[in-house]
Order: sequence, then C-alpha cells, then structure tokens
Amino acid sequence: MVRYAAKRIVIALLTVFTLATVTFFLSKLLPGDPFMNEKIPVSVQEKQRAYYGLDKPVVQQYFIYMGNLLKGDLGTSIKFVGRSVVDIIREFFPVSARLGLIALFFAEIIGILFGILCAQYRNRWPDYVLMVFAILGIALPSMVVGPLIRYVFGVQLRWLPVGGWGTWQQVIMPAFVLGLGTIAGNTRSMRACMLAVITQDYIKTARAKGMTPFRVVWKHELKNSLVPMLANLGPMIAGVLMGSFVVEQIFVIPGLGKHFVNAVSTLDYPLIMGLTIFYGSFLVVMNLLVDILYGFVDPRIRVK
Amino acid sequence: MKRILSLLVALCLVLTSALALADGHTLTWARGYESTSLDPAESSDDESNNIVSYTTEGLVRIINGEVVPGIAESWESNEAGDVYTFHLRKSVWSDGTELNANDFAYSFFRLVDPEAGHTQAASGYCVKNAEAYSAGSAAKEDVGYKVIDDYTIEITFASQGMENLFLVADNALHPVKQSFVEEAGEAYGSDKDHVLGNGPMVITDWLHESQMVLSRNENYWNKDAIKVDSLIGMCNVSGATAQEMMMTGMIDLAGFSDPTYYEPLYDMDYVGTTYTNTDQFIQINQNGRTEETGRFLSNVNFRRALSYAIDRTALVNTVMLGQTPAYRLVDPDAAGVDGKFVDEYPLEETINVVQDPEKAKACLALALEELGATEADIPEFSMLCYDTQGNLTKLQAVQDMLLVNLGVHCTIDPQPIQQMIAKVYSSDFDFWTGGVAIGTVDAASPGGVLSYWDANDPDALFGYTNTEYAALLDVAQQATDYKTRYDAIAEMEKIFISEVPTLLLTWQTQNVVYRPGIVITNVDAGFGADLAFVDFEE
Repeated sequence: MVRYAAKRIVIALLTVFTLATVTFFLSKLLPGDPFMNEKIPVSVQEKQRAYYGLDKPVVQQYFIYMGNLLKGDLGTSIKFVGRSVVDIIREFFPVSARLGLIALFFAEIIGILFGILCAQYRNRWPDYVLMVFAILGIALPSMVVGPLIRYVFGVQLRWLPVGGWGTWQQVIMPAFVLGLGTIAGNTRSMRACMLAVITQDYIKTARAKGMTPFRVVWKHELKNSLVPMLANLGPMIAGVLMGSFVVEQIFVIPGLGKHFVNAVSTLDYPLIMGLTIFYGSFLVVMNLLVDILYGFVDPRIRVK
Repeated sequence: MKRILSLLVALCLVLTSALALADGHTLTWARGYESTSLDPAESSDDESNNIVSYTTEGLVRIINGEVVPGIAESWESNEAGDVYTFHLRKSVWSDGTELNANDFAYSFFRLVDPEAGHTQAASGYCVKNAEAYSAGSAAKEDVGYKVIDDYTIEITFASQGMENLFLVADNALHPVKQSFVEEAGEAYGSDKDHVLGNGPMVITDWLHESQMVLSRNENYWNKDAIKVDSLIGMCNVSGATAQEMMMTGMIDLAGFSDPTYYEPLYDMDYVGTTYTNTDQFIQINQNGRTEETGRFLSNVNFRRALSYAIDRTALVNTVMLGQTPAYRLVDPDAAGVDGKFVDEYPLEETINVVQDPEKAKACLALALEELGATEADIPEFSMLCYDTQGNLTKLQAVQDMLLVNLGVHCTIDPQPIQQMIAKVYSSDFDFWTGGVAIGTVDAASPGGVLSYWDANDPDALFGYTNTEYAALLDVAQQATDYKTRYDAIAEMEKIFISEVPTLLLTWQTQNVVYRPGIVITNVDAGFGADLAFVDFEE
C-alpha cells in the first residue's frame, strides 16, 4: 500500500509541474498586453512591465516564476493593485468552498437517494419522474435556472433574499443551483451502479435468505454501488469547491469563480497562473486521496 | 386571539420603524464591480474613482460642473491663467492629524515619480515640466508645483486656459499622507486598513467583491454639509440583479442605462435622475486595416456615405434601447456660455438620425469617382468590438444597414478587452465600436471628447488629420473665457460633422434610480450621482 501511495504522489507532483509549465507558456501566447491603455503613457507602461518582470525574456520569466513558486510566492495581481495572489485566494476560496460543500453535501445525499429510488422502481413512474428531473438538471444551465428561481423565490414570493452573502438564507438558492447538476449526474450514475449490483448472485442469495428489502438495499446493494461512485468524487469536489462564475454572478457571491474568467480577460498573468496552479493542485490532491481510498476499499486496484 | 395577534404585528411595525429611524440616514447602493485600487495614483476605474472622491479631497471640487473650494478655500491666477496660487484652509486627515501644503506636494511628486510608474501619472502632466520630470529628463526644482508656505501652493500649468482648474480637481491629485503610505507600502489602497483620506467619508468595512461600508468623516472640514451617516455599497450588482434588489428593498439606489431595468422601477414609485454620459460611436480607422480598406476609409465622401446609410433612430428603437440618436457631437445637456450649448450654437447641417439611402448612394458615387474605383472594388471591412452582447447586436444592425443601403460588406471581429485594445493599437481594424465619456469639463480637455480625435498626428490611433480642427482644439484648450472656448468648440463640431472622422451613433443616457426621500445634489457625467453629498427629505 505504501508503494502504491508513493507512486501516486510522484505522479501528482509531476502533474502539477507540467500544469504550471504549460499554463505559463500558454498565458504568454495570449495576444494583448495588460498595460496597454490609451490613458497610460508609454513610459509608465514600460515601468509597469519592468515592475512585474514582464520586460525580461519569457524563459527567464519562467525560471523566476518557478523559483518563486517553490517558495510559495504566487506573485502580485496586476489588476488588483497591491494585493498578492495568495491573499486573493485566501480571501475568496473559503466563500466558494463553503457554498460548494453545502451544495455538494445535499447534492450527494439527494442524488444517491434518487438513484436508489430509480433503481428500485425501474421502469415505473418514480423512475420516469426522477429521470426526467435528472435530464432537466443536466440540460438546464445555471444561467437559466439561477435567474428563474431568483425571480420566483426572491422577487415574487419574497421567501429568500435575491442575492448577497452572509446569512443562511442567502446560501439556499445558489447552493441549489450549484448542486443541481451534481444531483442529476449522481442520480443517473447511482441508478446505473445499483442496477448492476441488483442482478448479482449475492443479492439474490440475500433475498432468498429472507432479508427485508430495506436490509438488502442498505447492507448489500448500497455499499457495493457506492464503490464506483467514489471515482467521480475527487474531480467533483474540486470543481464545486472552486466556485462558479455564473452562480456567483447571479447571486452576488464574493467567491473565487469569477476570478478564473476575469483574470484571463484582463491578462492578469500572476492571477491566471496562481488560480490554475491552485485549482490543479487541489484537483490532483483530491484525485490522489480518492485513488488511495480506492485502494483501501477495493484491494484489486492495488494489485493492478 | 386575533386581536392579540394584530396588536403584536402593529407593535413589531412600530418597533421596526423606530429602529430604522434610530439608524439615521443610511443609503445602500449598487456598485457594478469591485474597485481595483483606492490609491489616488493608481485608481483607474469608475468604481475606484467614486470611492476615492468620497474618501479624499483635493484643492477644489467640481459640483454640477462648477469648480468650488475644496481644501483650498480661495485662489487667484495670473492673467494668462497658467499660474494659480491656492490658499489652503486649516484641515485634518480622517485620523485627526494636521494636513497642509507639504502633504499635497508629497502626493503630487509621488504621482509623477520617475521611479514609481504610477498608472495615473498622466493626470499630473497638466503641471509644467511634470511630464519631463516623470520621464527623467527634468529636475524636481523645474516642476511647476511649489509650496510657498504651509498653507499656500503655487502651481504653474503646462498651458494657459480655464480648464486648468478642472484638471487640478482630478482624483489623482488628491493628497495622501506620507507616513501612512510609507508604512502601508504596496498594500496602500488595497483594503480598509490601508486607506486614509481627508474626504467627507471614511471606509469602516470593506469585504472585497461583496460590500463596502463608508461612514461620515467627523474630522472633515465641511462635515455639516454631509447628510448621510453611512453608505453601503453592494458590489457586483447591476442590470437585472440591481433591479430585483431594488424591487425587494435590498438597495436604495442604482444606475441603469437599459429601460428594461429602470422602467418597472419607475412604475413602482421609485424616482430618478437622468443625465447624458457617453457618446456612442463606431470609430473609423482612416489608416485602414489594409492599404485597400484605408484607401476607401480616408475618402471623406465614402465616410459620409457610411453615415447616411445608418439609421440611428432604428438603432435606438431596437438594439440601443434608452439612448438618444445623436444629431450633433455636443450633447443636449452640455452647458453653454449662459444656457445650453445646443441652444446657443444651433447647427445648419446636422448628422442624419434616420437613414438616407439616396444621399448615401450619391456620396458613394462621388467617392468612387474620386478614387477611380467601381462598386466591385470596395473591399470587405472588419468591425472590431469588445465581445459583449450589446456590442454584437449593435454591430450586426449597422452591418445590415451598410449592406442594404450601400452594398458594403463587413465582418464582425469580437475580442476580449485586452486583445481588442491590442488590435486598436496595432491598427488591426477598419471600424471599432466604442464610447467616450462626455461632460462640459472634458469637452476640449486632453483625453476629452473633441481631443479624442487628435487631428494633429497622422500616426495617431485613428489617422484623422485636419490643421484647422487641430488649431481650433488649441484655442479651446487655452481659452481663458467660456465664449472663446465654446466658439472654438462650435467650429470644431461643424468640421466634425462635415468630415465624419467617426460614425457618431447615440448619446447614452444614464438613469440613477432611487427610493423617494433621497435628494441627489450633484451629478457628474463621468462618475454619476455623488453619494457623499446626497440629501434627504424630512
């Protein structure tokens, strides 16, 4: 098991290094210049470039950046004057993570529950209703669902605040929209996994032994169906916790999601790099944990 | 039971109202996006500039287009209007420490420091030799910014003219406290703990990308003029979000340009203030993206044909909602010598507000004759824009008008903002859709509306040259009285309409919508409603 884990950790480090390198050079290929502005004199633009080290050859910039990265220095944002990338991540990630965790928690429970119901009532009306919901959840983008529920529950019914951040009421709608796709995806996956388990001999044996349907589902079907579901958990956690540009915009949430988009459009190189490395590292760590966990849950993986 | 419940509800309402009154005057408003820096030397966007104008105060302020005393309680100038002596009042920073002329001088030289490279340094170039000092080619002693004594500053400006007083009001020239700035280092202006000012408000809380709370500065020299106790700015709130937040009472005030959002609010008894803030245009690159497109676009009759082919009224009715078709360059709100500019300087020839295909074709025929070309020779043009839905629909409509009325083919080139700017600078466009902020102050200022089309330099961004226009611009900028200034602007406007250096489309109007009881006392065409000086009806 130790050898298996060590191998995974080496692969994870190589992945982050490759990601940082590729992102660095790709960001330099983007056309445009963050300091080009008719209101800023050319001499000032040159000083700004020098300040951020952008006047040096790209390869030299790369080695300086990687050296700083090893020290945990992700640089200073170009757009947000005087604020380090680490500070920006430290300020906004907890908001996105909190919202993401709440969304994920409910999405996992509801998705798994719906999946179980679909499998148990296969080709009957509960299955059809929940699958329609699942397909709608996947098909409808958050930019449609978000404004719609904001208008219905915020403006018309006045049950929840239209936007903002800080109270539990302000979490409900964005968490629902953020988790909707996950609920739908989990419903479909759980249904498929469970249907595969239901036909196994040991399930038939359990039923033949006279176990109650609830015990069969709880003790045998659910446990074994959850193993394949584990594989999706790593990227799912990383994706949801990093925030969503659309959901944060719609519900006025001070999260990290919008910075992924804005950093690219304003050519804020340090922020582009910092966010990509942070997201990439987080994703790699989550996958690593899932891989190791998988090794524990299913010993056949370790052997392979 | 019902009576008890009714009594309880009534009691709750009374208590809630009493608590609201006890809160004093609090105003919550929608901020479109987060401020990037509150350092006056770095503050470049409107949302940053707004806050800087609330938290700091320069020598003078501009209230409704008029220069009024700020920290300078009086001033005098020489006859030419290029040397001003400002007499400062005794005032303090928001931390209670003394503020004097040396603070202003420190702030100014910090702004144009040759080593620092502050992004707003150009705002200081109105002072004599400041640009050369910033470039490292002049000594500090040669710069026209002198401290005479602790409460007197003498500024020698780079040029003569009445606009110098407006230029000195710029946020970038507002003071910063040396000891505080040096202690804060690079973090100055980045969060609530690293901002210190001398303006009417102080920042008491700032959660980035969420909300900013400002309270009245009890140390402000004119604190009795400040009626609002606290301002709460909700960040990233605009459009439909702002509308719905107003509908549900979460915010008190927001700015809108699209009637889809503000009209339902007026129906709900909200009130508003309207002002014209931007000229919307499609800029013509007379140098052309290619030699062939430049050949056509540098022909005045070809440009006139393009203008006649555009139906500005149809644009306003379909894709540029809430705007006004522009029939001349100077907007209807602009002040003249005694009244409105548009009344004092009526025009014989105006820009067509509806399409005129016959005139368009006649101008095209003239252009083709002058160029020795046929309709088949007209190249395909590229329309560059910042990639937003509004820009795309606007350009698609114009693209169709040019095709139907003139047979001119255009492609649309949407780009992210920095890539679009790069393309403008490298002349990689034939048309580019943009807007320029307008106002009486800027009408002939460097960077303002008419100087936007720099007619002196053929290598300038848009390749427009006209010696008469350039000479008139000099007269307007160096005028020492309104009459001379506006006479020159009126002549420039005639040349502008005749020569079509740009396809002016509309005047964009901004609606500041707010709950009844709020009184807006100062509106700036660039920054909108001045919330620090807002008043309340009893």
